[in-house]
Amino acid sequence: MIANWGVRARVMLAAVLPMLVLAVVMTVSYTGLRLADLDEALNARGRAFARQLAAASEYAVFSGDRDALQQLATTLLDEEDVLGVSVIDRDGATLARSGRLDGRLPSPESAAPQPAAFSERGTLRIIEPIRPSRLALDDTFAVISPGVAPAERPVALGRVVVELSLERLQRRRSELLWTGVASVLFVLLGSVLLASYMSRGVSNAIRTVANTALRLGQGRLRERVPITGGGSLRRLAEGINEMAARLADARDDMALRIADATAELRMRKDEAERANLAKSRFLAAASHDLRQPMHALGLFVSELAQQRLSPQSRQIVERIATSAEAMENLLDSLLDISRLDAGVLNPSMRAFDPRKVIDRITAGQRAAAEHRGLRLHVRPAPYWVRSDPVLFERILINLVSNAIRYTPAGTVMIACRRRGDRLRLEVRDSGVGIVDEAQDIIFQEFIQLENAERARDKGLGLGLAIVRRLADLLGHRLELRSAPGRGSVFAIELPIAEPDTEAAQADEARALGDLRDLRVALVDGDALAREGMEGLLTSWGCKVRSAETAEALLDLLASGPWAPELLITDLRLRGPINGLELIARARAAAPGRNLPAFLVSGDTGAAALERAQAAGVALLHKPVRPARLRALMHRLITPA
Amino acid sequence: MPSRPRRLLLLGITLLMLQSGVPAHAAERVAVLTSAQGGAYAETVSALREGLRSSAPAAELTVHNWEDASVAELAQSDIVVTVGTQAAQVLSQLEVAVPVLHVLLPQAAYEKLPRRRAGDPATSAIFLDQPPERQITLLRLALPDWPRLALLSGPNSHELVARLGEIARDRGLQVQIAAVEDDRQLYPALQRVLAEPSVLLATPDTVVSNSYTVQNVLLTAYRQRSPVIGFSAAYVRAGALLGLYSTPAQIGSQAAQIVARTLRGEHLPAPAHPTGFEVAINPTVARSLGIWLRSGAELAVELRRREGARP
Repeated sequence: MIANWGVRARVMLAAVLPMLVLAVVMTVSYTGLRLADLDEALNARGRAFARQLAAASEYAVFSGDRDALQQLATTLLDEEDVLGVSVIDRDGATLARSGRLDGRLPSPESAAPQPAAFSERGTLRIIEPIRPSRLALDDTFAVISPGVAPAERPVALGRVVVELSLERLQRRRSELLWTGVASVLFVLLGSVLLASYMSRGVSNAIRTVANTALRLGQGRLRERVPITGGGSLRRLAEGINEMAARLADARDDMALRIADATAELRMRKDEAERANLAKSRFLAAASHDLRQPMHALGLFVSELAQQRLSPQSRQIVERIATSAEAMENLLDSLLDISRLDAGVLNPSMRAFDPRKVIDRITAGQRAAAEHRGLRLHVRPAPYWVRSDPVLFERILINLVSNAIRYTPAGTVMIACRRRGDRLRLEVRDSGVGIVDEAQDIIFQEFIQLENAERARDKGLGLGLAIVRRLADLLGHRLELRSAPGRGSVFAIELPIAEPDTEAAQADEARALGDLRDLRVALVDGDALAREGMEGLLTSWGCKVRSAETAEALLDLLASGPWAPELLITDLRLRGPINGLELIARARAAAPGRNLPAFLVSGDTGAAALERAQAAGVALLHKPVRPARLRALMHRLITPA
Repeated sequence: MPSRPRRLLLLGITLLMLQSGVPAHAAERVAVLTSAQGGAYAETVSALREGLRSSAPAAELTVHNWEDASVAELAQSDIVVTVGTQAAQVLSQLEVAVPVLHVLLPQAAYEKLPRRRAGDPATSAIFLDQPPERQITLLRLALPDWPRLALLSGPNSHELVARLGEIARDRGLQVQIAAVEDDRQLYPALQRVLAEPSVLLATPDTVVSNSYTVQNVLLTAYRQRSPVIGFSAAYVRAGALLGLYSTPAQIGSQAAQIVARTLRGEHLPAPAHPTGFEVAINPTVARSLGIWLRSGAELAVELRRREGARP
């Protein structure tokens, strides 16, 4: 218990305990002595009374003078504590009696004529024999009579019985006891106060040190212990102060270093941000500049493919189309990454049936799988999910195409399974698998395992980076389980949602549709792109009027009754009017009906997309894929 | 025929024998048997020795304690002197065929000793007590105005008291006598005899006068305005008005005279009271009682004068 005590309590104990023990011992012993003294004194007084009375009553007993004895007895009764007096002759007859003798004690008449003293029940009884006083007759007559020589101890004439009250003694005794207790308490109190006062000297100093140490511990390293006292206390205070000084130095030093390091880090970060910005700018610029010719190339190839061609030429055209598509895919991926990095993509979450998406993807990928000799299996589940269907489709396409690309033989499977309130969608392959260390880095841009030569048909290495970014954006959990030689499983978990049949039907309705005889106005500054687009639209049966500038189109619209049903314009146009303004003006020129319109742009920068979104106008990045173009046109011309 | 030197040798031997034999016949041996060492006994013995040195210088004195006395030793002496009652009792039971003188014992004690057989040598004594005549004479001499005499007789002093009373009545005193058989009767007896102020003559009886009763007797007498005549100096110191007594030295000297006479061939005298005596007075008591007294010495001289005048 004492182990948990503080300094003060210990000092107090050390000071109080000996004092207390001493006080108790002294009080007990002195009280005991005093009590014994009192006892002895009362006894002695009683004996003295009895002896005095015995001596005084000798002659009266000898002469049988009862009056004198009674007087003596009565006189003695005046003495303090004397309760009763009795004088008894040698035959046991009471000669005189005064006061009251304790009836509980044995009858005094029967007592032996021996000096005796005993106390019982508050009464002290003393019996003293009355002996004739002896006068020394120092001559021969003292021994003159043989045979009848007087005994050494003469026969007692009688005895006196004196009874004293012990009440005063007992009162005095309890007084003494209480005094003893009081003095112990007083000493205890005094020593506690003294010890408290003395211990303050010790404990205050220690408490000061302790408090300072506490503040030092809280980080206030400028705190110092005032140096007082001497010996260990002084050394302690000095030690604490030195420790505090060293801590403060060390902290200052550390702070300096941290500041340096932080400054350097900030510099590095700035550098990195600048580098990242530069990269984004480069990507945007590169993709924009590549897009214009790619856009045109795609359009021309599409148009060329619709021509009558010799089988040889057709084969060449198909190869050109494949190459162009691969290049377009690469550009799309770059564009996706830059858009995701720009943070301008706002997912539109809604409930949809993922089976349709999966069906579409399997339909699209089956040919590629079969081409590589792979089996593509689907194990669907009858649940709707909540996500952005377009972005979800992007994720799934990337995962599936990735699986097909990296699986030399065997099976690729898309499996859906409910897990609680989530749908877990897994893309499994029987490919080479991924070692543990590589499982994180494959989600970084331009990382391709086992593609040191960077073969183009294995993609650009952006697929999984896009998947990771999209999954993060949608808030879906993305998981990879893989081991070398045992294939890989990419899993994504989506929240399950209630089916929304109306939305599904609208999708269906929009999917249908016909572009034949659709009047389309087209504005594009780049002649090659404009011609390609115009060719493509015409091949779909659209009636196209194109212009190089906005002004030209506006003139065209103003000059005749021809009214377009759809406006497609580049965002950046030569002249003062850009695509957005053009759309606004065209809509203003034909009030009453909201002219469907959308933008195409080779500018992949975030700014262009933001402006389009702000104006509520769809934007297609160049190179525009025919399918996407067609889908968008369908959506826009189909009344809601 | 013995030679001359031989005759001389025989003569020498004879002379030597004669020399050693003569004192053996001449020395008188006195054996003293004491009851105790010290005190009155030693004083008595020393006075006896002193007296013999002048009256019988040849006498050889040996002192024995009564406890270690042997008959053989005592039997070789010419006379045995016992000092004290105890020694007297011891000797009277021994078969010692020498004359015996008892000293320092009361007359009553002497009379209680076993009678010696007819053929035994003579026995005598010097009593401790004063003769009744002397006591009464002193009383009349010192207190002529006090006509009443009070006497207490104890178990050992009936005869003595009777004799005292007789003499006192002869001298015209009124005598009151009370018998005391034990100490409880002492106070009533005193009350009785001292009903009127009288002179209380203390008698040496252990029941009446012992060291424990003396004070009460004196007190009672004083309260009755009665003077007490004691039988020792201590009695006077304790509060008696007068005391008539013989000192051990006086008795020792008297014994020395008797021993010397006996050794010279005289017969032992009859037992007798001491011849020498002293009178002591307590002037304080006398003043308290309002009694005028002559000095003790004067009284003793007058008493001796009267005894000397009387045959």
